[in-house]
Amino acid sequence: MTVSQPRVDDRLVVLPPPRGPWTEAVLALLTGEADDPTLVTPARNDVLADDDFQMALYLCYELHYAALEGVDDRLEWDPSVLTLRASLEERFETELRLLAGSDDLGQAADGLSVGEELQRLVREDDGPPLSRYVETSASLDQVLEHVVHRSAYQLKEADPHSWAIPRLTGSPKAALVEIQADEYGGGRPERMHSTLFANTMRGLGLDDRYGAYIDRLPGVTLATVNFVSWLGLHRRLRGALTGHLAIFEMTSSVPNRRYGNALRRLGFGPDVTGFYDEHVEADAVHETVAAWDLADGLAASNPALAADVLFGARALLALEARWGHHLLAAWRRKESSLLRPL
Amino acid sequence: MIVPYRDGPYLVHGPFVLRDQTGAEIDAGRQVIALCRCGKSRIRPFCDGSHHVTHFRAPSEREDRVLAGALASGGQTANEPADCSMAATHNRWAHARKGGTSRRSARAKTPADSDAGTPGPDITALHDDLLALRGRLLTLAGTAARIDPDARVADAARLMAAASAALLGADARTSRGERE
Repeated sequence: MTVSQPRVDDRLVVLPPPRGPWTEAVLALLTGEADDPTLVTPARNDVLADDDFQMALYLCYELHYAALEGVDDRLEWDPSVLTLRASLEERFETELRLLAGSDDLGQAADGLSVGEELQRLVREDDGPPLSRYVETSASLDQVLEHVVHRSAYQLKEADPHSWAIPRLTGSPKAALVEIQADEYGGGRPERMHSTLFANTMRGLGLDDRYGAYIDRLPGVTLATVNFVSWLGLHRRLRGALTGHLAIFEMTSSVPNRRYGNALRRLGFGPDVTGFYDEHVEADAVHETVAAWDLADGLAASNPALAADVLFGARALLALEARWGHHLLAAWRRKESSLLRPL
Repeated sequence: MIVPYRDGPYLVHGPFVLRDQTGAEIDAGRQVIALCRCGKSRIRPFCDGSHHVTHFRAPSEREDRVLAGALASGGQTANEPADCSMAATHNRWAHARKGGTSRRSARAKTPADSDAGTPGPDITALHDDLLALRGRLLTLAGTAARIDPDARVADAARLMAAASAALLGADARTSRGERE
């Protein structure tokens, strides 16, 4: 196989070492050591927090976002890789749907629109008080860990949702494009949210290169990113993707104000808090457009998608809650929440 | 275009200029902005999502409790079309009721005014009934106008507006008289 050399401005991810049978199988395909997908099915429960499983899926998805060092770009659409990915996704979906529950049937019963259901989910969410802890009590090391966890998504913020643009039509499409245009800086690359996040990382003395920390990220973190990549790459899941975006934005403004306050408390200035300050204001706009014009609008025009919109919303809240609990529990034990401390 | 979203902010789309009351421009920094509607934002006039914390509730469409709404927000209906007799009526009423006193909601105001001997419970109940009737009539008139303009519905709406104006005008005169 010929290995294409990525341009310097491309995202370039260095392959992490294997974590177990799942990553070994994926890495064997990516590095050309194997060309048949080995369908691995270790008898392990809870793949949603499994470091090995989630990294295997993460690497399959990274082919669509970035160049992987030493990996042929054409493997992005290689049948063997896609076969392996599909087997991982099948298990991922099964556990996600169990985690999210299925009270979406209540939607018809209590007569609420999808927009109202999304508001109810946010109102009744009892996730861990991660942003409050970070705002008032987190140490600098803990704040840095929080940023490193988030870098897995924030350095490609908005990208997976862009995959839904060609799969929507009419008002929901216009709503999504309006949000995405703002995410990408409204024509000003220096205002792009992923760029603002990189500024924050640099200001904190962290490595802002794409993928620099993936080897330290636990499965519970990678699962939050794999979830949105999975939704973005499958047209059938476009409803869930809009539910994901709506909840992501609806639960963003207030926590981001707190994260900004945490950095101010620790003595950092606007160059570092800029990402969080921008999200307070931007996501107040985005959440409204995402919940009503996008998610509610899509469900209104295509009622068959309503249940999936709410699945995307509930699964995100549940995954984020597990991730938040993981961080708080590790910090309570005076341990690092990463696989290796910074 | 300005859209009040249910339980959320006002979204402003399209070309706009945001100024403070001295005329100085407030930099919005983006093409679509969300203006605070719940009053709790820490970056007013912009929304910062605080409506989630306070569980702010408000419909997207115009509220039925127009009088209470006008009083509570200190005359936010002032920009409504001048040819709308309903809006003009309750603006006048809100203005008269406000007088020189501090801004208080209609609900908070009623007991205090009763203490002072101004509108008694009877007239309050009448207002409430009138409001409910007007709300329903406005909805009906709006629906009829969209489907098949019906002069009788419009006439009924105008009659109700006139009745409303008469009653509210009398009440306003009473309020002023008591204060003087």
